Parts: sequence; structure tokens; C-alpha cells
Amino acid sequence: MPAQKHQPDLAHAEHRIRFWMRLLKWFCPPALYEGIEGDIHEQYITDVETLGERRARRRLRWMVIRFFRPEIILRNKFGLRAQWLMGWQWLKNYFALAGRSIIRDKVTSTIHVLGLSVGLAVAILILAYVRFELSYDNFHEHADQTYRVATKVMLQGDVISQETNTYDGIRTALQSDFPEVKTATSIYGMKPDGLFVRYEDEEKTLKPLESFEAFAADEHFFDVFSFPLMHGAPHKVFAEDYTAVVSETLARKYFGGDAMGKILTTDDGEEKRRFTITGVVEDVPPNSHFTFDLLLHWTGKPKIKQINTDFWVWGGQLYAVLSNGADPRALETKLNRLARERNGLKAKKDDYGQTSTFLLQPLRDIHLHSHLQYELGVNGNSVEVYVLCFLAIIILAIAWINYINLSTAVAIEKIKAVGIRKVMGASRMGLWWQVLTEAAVFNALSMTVAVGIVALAFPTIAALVHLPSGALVWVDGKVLLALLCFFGISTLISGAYPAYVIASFYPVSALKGKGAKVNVSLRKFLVVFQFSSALILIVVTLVSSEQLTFMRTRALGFTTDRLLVVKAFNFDAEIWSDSAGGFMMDEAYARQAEGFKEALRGTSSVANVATLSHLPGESVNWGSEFKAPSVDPEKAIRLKAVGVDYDFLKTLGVRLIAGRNFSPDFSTDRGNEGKRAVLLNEEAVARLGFKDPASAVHQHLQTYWGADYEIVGVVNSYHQLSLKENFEPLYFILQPRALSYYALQLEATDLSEAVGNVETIWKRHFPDRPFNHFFLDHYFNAQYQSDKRFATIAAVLSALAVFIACLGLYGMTSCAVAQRTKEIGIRKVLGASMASLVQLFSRDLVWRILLANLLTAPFLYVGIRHWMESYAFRIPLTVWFFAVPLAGMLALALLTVSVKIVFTSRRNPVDSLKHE
Amino acid sequence: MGKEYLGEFEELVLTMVGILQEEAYGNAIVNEIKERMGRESNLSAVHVTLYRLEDKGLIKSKMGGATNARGGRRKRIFTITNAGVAMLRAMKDARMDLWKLVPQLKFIGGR
Repeated sequence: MPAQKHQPDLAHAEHRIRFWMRLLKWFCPPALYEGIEGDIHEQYITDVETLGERRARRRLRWMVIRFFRPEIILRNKFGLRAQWLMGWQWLKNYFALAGRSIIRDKVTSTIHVLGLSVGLAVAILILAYVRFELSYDNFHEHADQTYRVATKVMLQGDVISQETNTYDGIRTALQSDFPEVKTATSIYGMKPDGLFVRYEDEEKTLKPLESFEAFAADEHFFDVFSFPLMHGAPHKVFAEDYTAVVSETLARKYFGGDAMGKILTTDDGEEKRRFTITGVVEDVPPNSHFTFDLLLHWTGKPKIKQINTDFWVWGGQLYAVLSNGADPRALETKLNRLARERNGLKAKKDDYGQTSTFLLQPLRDIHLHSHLQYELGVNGNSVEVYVLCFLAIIILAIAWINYINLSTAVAIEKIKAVGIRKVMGASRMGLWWQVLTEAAVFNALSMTVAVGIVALAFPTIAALVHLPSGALVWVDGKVLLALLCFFGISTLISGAYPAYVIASFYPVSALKGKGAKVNVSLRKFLVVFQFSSALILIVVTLVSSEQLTFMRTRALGFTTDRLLVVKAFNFDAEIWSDSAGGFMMDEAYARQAEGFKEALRGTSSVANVATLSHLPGESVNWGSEFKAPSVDPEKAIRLKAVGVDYDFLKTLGVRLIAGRNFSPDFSTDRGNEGKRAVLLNEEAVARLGFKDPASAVHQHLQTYWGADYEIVGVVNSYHQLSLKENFEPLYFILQPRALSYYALQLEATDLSEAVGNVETIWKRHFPDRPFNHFFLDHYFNAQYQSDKRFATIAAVLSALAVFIACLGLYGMTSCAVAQRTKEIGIRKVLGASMASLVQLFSRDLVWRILLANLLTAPFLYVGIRHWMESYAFRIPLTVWFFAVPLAGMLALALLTVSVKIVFTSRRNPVDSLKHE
Repeated sequence: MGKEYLGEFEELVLTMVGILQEEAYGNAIVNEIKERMGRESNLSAVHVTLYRLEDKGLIKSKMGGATNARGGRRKRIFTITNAGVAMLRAMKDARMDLWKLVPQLKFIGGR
């Protein structure tokens, strides 16, 4: 019978179609599968019997393939609701499991939450900081099309300065000659001590304004910048001459909020002016690269004496708004071409071939990327932002590694539970979801704690890093999205590997409690990575704080001890003029100033008094180009000028190395524009090419306008700027009577009393002028604000990193100890000492730390070398910077392990043997 | 039921379900179509049509008995619902109404 003949074939035939059936099962919705498979199977069997196996198989293949169609694959109506319901039940179950494991294993859970929450909190804080740093100047309507014109000055092929301001001729050209420039404005900073501003109060008496930032602005100011006006319309406030806009704070402080139409009088020593307030502007937000309380507007050159009507008069900072699609590089080229043309027409006098080129800086890049001369504020540092982002990622990575390592280690304890779940039919996917749910629960908890930490710690941290309190924003679409992303990414990273490990347990061996194929070498690698990261942070912290200490304690070449500085005023009355070759002076004021100095000299608490134009710590903006004909008749060098009096060296403790100090005995010292005596510092002597200081004395310097300066003495190079910068080549000119600062060497031990005395004398001589004073060391060290901030942040971050890493270490040790409790018991019974137990558990660890150091140190060394090169004066990078963190880390790691071991092995060995 | 529209193949499958009664499952329908209409139809096409008809509420399904030939898999047995019967009847009536008009037109034409 045919049926009999076919009978043995059927089992074989069925076997031959397994693959196709499995394929069908793969793409077919489960709800439909049974009916379809049955039909296909039935047809196949019929076909085998009627058509033979080969043709039947061909037909079957075709049938299966024909089922691969959207109506089948995408059809999920039958089971949809049930699936959702099932999924929901599963999810509830996963949450319950996660909750149970949190409660059961409190140590691990605490370590998870602590580590992750600290990591996330750091990340959130750094995100807030970076967000603030990147938000600079973006509130202006035309922020993306606004550029600042910076100037690069070259002398004989060398760049001698790059400045934020530019020539007035460029402003005129930008405002009228370039169609791609929509509008342009120029601002000119006015030093508060050089500008004496008074207001009329109710009784019409004049009272001085104190501590304010003022700028001279032209009528296009509000076309370029969109600082919101509270009173007044943007294009009307500066419609007329002698108008002023004040900030909200200033208006409230001096006019009770109602400032419109009020009068301000200004006196810059040169000219007295009256301004009517036509607008009140909201206080400048902290994320603006310049800040002001007062804008003054009048036509004519603000503050600049009309030396000539040439193109090449230095003006203020110039900002231009380009039209959409205009190419800033093309405009730069045009400006440079214009400058070359004008260069040809330049002044009759040779200025030793100085040329200028122009650079358009995007407004929004100024804060992080511009570090030129005469910046309007302390700018940020893009490198610092990148480094902080990097550190945040490192800390997060350390926290994630903790989670990964610890939860895979703990998974071994749960292996039986996993085995049972598998036997009961849990799918791989299901286990994945279970572990991910647990990670999500931990991350959600940690996120909550992190948000709490940030909310509580932010005021302290903001004060530490000089961040405005408004920098932390929660309710903002982007911020919430970022937090959500943090949560999602953190969950995935921390949960994915443990999920993979747990899902890949073999059910049978898992039930026996073994067979966990945990990749131990990956875990080792992760631990090494953790230690490397910690090492990077610790070394960076050490180096930055040592460098900071070095910079703050190194001898500066002048004395800062009890050196009080009182700001003079009226210094801007003296305009350095190339053509005049000297400074203009108000005689009446000069006599007043001389009287003040005399009175101070008569006070017992004041040892010495000097006047000077530029304090150490201030960037010098006077100077000229010189040739030393006796060395090289061709080479010109730019030197910077400081105006001083006879007592300058004595008061600031600057040493004379060769020649003599200025002296009243030599009437030629003061000199005039054509001939005067100068002191040089060693750096200037070296740059000019003299062999040694002694050989420079009595030599002559020539300026391009033909003046002849005699070098009468050489003084030591002192740090005019921070130790990040090299020595400045300086020359000193005698300005005996009035300059911008009085430097007072106090004698008294009671400094506040001495300051009080000085103030009394000040009030006597300048009754209506504010008494602005500070100590020189504070002023000088203010330059290290950003370094100090960075060192603080690095210290905090590395402490946190080490803390998290130790947490992880503690968790891992606990886990290892728990799994080897019996072993410890047996070893103890056999007489093992505590030390040998610690050794047993820490041997691997020590190797890993050493390996981490070995791997990281070379890269770290190169990186730090590179970083240190940004400091002109720096500490030597010794082996101690690597050895100390290594020793510290080893000690800390051993301590962590020992704590756990001692705790465990103190127990009676019998208890440990009963374990399990 | 007027707004529902059935395609030709859908109508055919629906009719077959009506005919086969308790024996209406995928394979049986394919064979029935072949037997009665002499028309080859594809199993997957029949399945898809059955599901579509089920979506429309014209038939309903339940799992029936398993046989050896099916490798132990149960059949998905489809039965026609009242709505399905009404639909078939409505379509038949509509066609008959039209049909009544056809001969007159044709025959008057004299061909």
C-alpha cells in the first residue's frame, strides 16, 4: 500500500522542513501561528503523498514565503490587548523584583545609589556651568551676525599686540562704505576713577556717583545690542547729543527708580559735560562679555584728543552686524585691503613700519575664545569648559563602572533565581527587561537624589566658581530633555552589560548555582580604567594646586607687604600723545596731588609714598617702539611705559641693578617730548640686545618721531603680569606729580587704623572725591581667580571620584568576601592571620592599581607638560606628582579592603563555616 | 450592511465558509475552491482574506481539533456569522436585481 510505503518517509520529510517552519514561527504573530502552521503542514503531508517529497518541499517553501506579507506579519489584533496586559503584568513584576532586591541587599543598593547620584549630580552641575558659559551674549537679537573688529599690530614682521579695540577710521568705513554691514557701533570704556560723575539730588546739590562701569556709546548702540530698555525707546534714547542711559540698579540707587530726565554731570579732567538721562536699561545679565551701569552719548571723539583727523586714531571696541549671508572672512579681506591703501597715505613720520590687520570675532565666541589685550571683562576659557566636560564624563564613567561591576558580581548570588525563572519559561528578552528595569529604578532613585544634591549644593558651588544663581534652570524644555537623556543613557550604560550577563546564564548550570560566564577580565579592565581615571583627576588636582601656590608665593620682584593703593583720579586728563611725545597736565590738580603726598609723608603710619601710572597686575597700555642705535640701527622693539615718581623704587621695593634712579638733581630727567631720561627693566635691556645691564646705562634710545631717550638706570624685572605671562619689557618715565595710583608703604601694624588715617587725609585734600583703596597683593592675586577656581573644582571632583571609586571597591570586596566566607573561616581555623587575609583579597587589587598607573602615567605626563606650557613660570613636573597619588591610592584601596576583611574575619570562624 | 463592500475573492471565501460549516479552515477552503470552481488559490491569500473577513465581523473563528497530518497543530475553524449570512444574501439579491435587467437590454439589442 502506498500509505505504508510513505509512512517512514514522513518523519524524515517533517525533519526536512524544520528550518522553514522555524522561519514561519519567527515572522508569524504567535496568535496566528498555530492555525497557519497546521494548514501548511497538512498541505505538505498531502503533497508528499501525491506529488513526492521534492515537489512538496518546493511547494511548502513557496507557501511559507507567500505568508511573509504585511497582512500577516503586522497583524497583531488578536493578541494585542492581551500582550499589553501581559507586558504590564511583567513590568509590575520587574518593579517588584527591583524593589525587593533593593531592600534585601542594602549595602549594594546604597553603594549603587550613592555612586550614581554623586556622578549624576556632578554631571548636572557641570552641565549647568557649561550651559551658562555657552550662553554668553546669545540674548542679543543679532547675536549670530554680530562681530567685533579686533586689531593685530605687526612690527617688522612680528606680532606685537592683538587688541580688542580698533581704529576710528575703521568704524567710519564700516558705518558708511560696506553694504554688507547692517549697522555698527563703537563703545569706549571710561575708567570710573578717570571720570568724575555727579548727579543732582532733590535739593539740586551735586553728589558723586560711586563704583560704576561707564561706556561712551554712539547712536547705534541699541541697534547692535538688544539690552532691554525699561524706559525709553531703543532708537530714540541717543537721538540727541549729551544723553545718557543708566542701569536699573543705578536708577534705583540714586534716583529712587525715577531717573528719566534727570541730569548727570561728568568731569574727566579735561572737559565738563551735562547729560540728560533718556533711558533706563535692565541690569546687564551676567552672561554678557561686558557690563555697564552708565552709557554716555555725545558726538565727537569720546575721550580722545583730536591729535589728527587721520584714519589711524585708536578708538574703542567696534561691533558690526552683518546682513544675512554676508561672509565675515570676505569683509576681513576688504578691511585689510582698505588698511593697506590707507597705510600708503599714512602720516609723514615713519613709525618703524608698523602695520595692522583686522580680525572679525563672532560676538558669541568672545567670552570663551578671545584673549586679547584690553578685554572688557575676565573672559572664560574654552579649554576649561572642555576639561570640565571630560571630567564629568570620567566621574560618570567611574559611577557606571561601579554599577556594572557590582551588579554583575551580585548577579552570581542571584544565579539560582535566574535559573528558576529560565526554567519557568522566562525569555532572554524578559530577563533583559528585568535587569534593565532594575537599572532604571536605581537610576531614577539616583536621579532624584542627584537633583536634590544639586538644588541644595548649588548656592555653595555657585559662590565657589563665581556662577550667578540664575545659571541653574530646571523648568526649561532643553534642560528637562537633557535630564531625561541623562537618565536614559545612564540606565542603558549601567544596565546593558549586567543584563547581557544575566540573560546568558545557562538554565541548568544556573540552577546548580554555577556556570555564570561572567567575563572577569572585562571587570578587571573596568577597575583598571577606574583607577586610571582617579589618577588623572588626582594628578591634575595636585599639579594645579601646587602651581597656584607657586604663583601666589613666588617672589614677584616687588614688595606686596602692607602696600596700600589709593586710586587717584583725573589720570585720563593726561593723554599720551605721539605727536606731543608727552602728557598734558592740569596744573591746579597737580598741586593738589602734591599736597596730598606731602601730607602722607608726614604721617607716622606711612613709610613711603609713590605715584605710578600702572600697577603690577595691570596690563600696561602705554608704550612705543624704540631702536637702540648703539646695538642695532635697524631693529625696532616695542616697550611698554610706566610713569613713576622719584620714590617708586623705594616704595615698591624694586631694585636698581645698574646706573642711578631718577633724581631731582638732574633737571633733564623729566625732559620733554624730544629728550628725556628713562629707566629700563632687565627684560627690556635683553630684548633691545644689550649685553648686560651695566652696558646699557648712558646708552640712547630713539623713537620713530626722532626723540632721544637716555637710559640712566636698569632695574630688576618684576612681574608686571601674572606668572602665566613672561616678564614685560618696560621703561619707566618720570611723572613726579600726578598719576593714576598712589602706592603707600604702610608702617603700622594695625592696618585698618592706618587706612583710616589715610582716608582722613584724603577727605581733607579731595573732599568731594570717593576714597577707593585696596591692598596690592589682593589686586595682584585677583589675576589667579580663574586658576584658583579651576584648582578648587579639580580638587572637589577628584575627591568625589576617589570617593565613588572607593565605594565601588568596598562593594566589590564585600561581594568577594561574601562568596568566600567559608574559605575565610577555614583559613582562620587553619591559623591564617588577619594580614594574610588582607593580602589574599588585595593582591589582585594592588596589581591593578599599579597597572593603571603604568598605563596612564605616560599619557598624563605628556598632557600635563603640554598644559603647563601655558604658564611662563611653572613648577618642575617631578616624579612626586605621580608617586604621591599612587601611594595614596594604594593606601586608600588597602584601607577599604582591610575594613571589610577585618569586619568579616572578626566573626567566629564557626559562624562563617555555617554560612549558606 | 450596505456600506460594507466585499471584493470578489472575499465573497468567494465567505461563501465557502458558509458551505463548509464546521469544516471551514484554511486548507479545506483552498481545496473546496479548487474542487468547485476549478480555481487555484494560494493558502496565504485565503488566510489573509479570512482574517480580513473576521475583522469585518462576517465570520468568527475558534480553534478546533488537531490531527496527525497537521503535526499536532489545531485547526482554526471559521464559521459564518449572521452578519456574514446577511451580507451574502444582500449581495446575491443585489446581483439578482441587476441580473433581471441584463437580458432585456441584451436581447432587445438583437445580437
